[in-house]
Amino acid sequence: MDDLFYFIISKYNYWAAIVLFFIGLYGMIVRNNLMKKIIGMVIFQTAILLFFVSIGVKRGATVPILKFSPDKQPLLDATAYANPLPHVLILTAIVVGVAVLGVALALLQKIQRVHGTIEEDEILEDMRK
Amino acid sequence: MTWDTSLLWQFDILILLMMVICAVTALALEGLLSSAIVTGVYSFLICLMWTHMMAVDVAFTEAAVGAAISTVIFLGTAQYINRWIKKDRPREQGIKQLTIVIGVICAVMMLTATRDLPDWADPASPASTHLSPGYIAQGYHETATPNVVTSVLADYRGYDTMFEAVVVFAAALVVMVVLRRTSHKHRKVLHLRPKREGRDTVLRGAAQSIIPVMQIFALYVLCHGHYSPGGGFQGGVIFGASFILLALCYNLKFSMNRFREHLVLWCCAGGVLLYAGIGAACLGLGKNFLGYAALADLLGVTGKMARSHGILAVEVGVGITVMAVMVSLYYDLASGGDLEDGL
Repeated sequence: MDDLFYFIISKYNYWAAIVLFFIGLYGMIVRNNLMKKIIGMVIFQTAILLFFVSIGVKRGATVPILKFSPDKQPLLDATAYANPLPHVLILTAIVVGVAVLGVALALLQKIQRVHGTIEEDEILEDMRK
Repeated sequence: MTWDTSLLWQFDILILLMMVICAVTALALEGLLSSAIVTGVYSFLICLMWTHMMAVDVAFTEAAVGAAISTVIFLGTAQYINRWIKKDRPREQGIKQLTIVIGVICAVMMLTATRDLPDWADPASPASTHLSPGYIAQGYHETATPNVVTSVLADYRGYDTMFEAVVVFAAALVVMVVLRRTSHKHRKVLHLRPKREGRDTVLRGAAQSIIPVMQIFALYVLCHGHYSPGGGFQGGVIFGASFILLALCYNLKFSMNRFREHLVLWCCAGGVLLYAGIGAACLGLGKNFLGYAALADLLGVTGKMARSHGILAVEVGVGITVMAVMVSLYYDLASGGDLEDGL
């Protein structure tokens, strides 16, 4: 029982990332509405970011900002701080993510303007005319 | 195998469950406005998750970008599209059911593969033992910057960050090019947007008292990124959000009179140019591109402090670009490209 408990609490972050990943993929592939596809893309993206950041977590560690002792010496023990590298990658990825979202929404508005709809199959019909 | 209870796994599981529920709800709802709001809630939840995983800089960015700006541009877009989805047609269901089956098989395979991944929060995991301890151990001695994230972001991975800024800049241009002109014979515009006079006293009073504080806070976040969570991305987004708040509380014209569009574009390009210019200056002074230690003689400080100052300078560049890009995205998406009236 203890082993099972340990197994669950040592892997649940990956499970959540994978579940969110496939929810996002479902939204992007199966939903017919382009706005839903974009929301699916946002979820898909955050699932990957969640996976990245969660591999940088360390037990008993704090935020990656150096602590100083009273005599101004920094504490440079790597196990005392969370892994800063995934944070850097994800921080920039979030800002690029909103840029991608902006471009996607601009294309969405343009499609609505040209075809009068944002439903996938109606757009295809409109294009065949 | 003992488990350190300092990590609140109950809290994590609760937040992750709520995230999954929000994700499903956002995709299942039929109204697109409510979907957009649920996506905002999802961002707030993941922001809590970042904070709990000690990724405070990421949480800061997510709160400003994911929860605020994304939701606003979703709502801005919702003015110009059909707000209610139609039921999926049965015609194409066969191929989509096949996709679901393949997706479930892949999910099961990936879930099985997690057995081989390192345990969560294991300090001895491969990701935490090879490269990153070096940054923590040397970062302060080489760059005089206690926030390791900032020093890695702007110094060790300076190229990466510079091209991220370029990507964001390019996105603003693409949005403008896509939305600005549509030939009139093809135009099937849906006009749902309300006429806004901007005369709501409560909103105006709130905006007047919040916006100055917000802008000063943005500058603080930008300049204090060396010592606390924050930096160019976060400060820039908060500064941009202050102009968006102005537009939301008054109207788009009011905000555009204060921060005109050509100035926004100059800022977009200027920030990237400042970043690249500092890199080029280092190159001209005989070091590598973005090797800030070259600026030491120019600034009259040691090489270590020159790297710290270099980080601040490029963070200012990033901040200007990100601020202008967020404002530009809002102007274009909320007004449908005509810049007449907005959300």
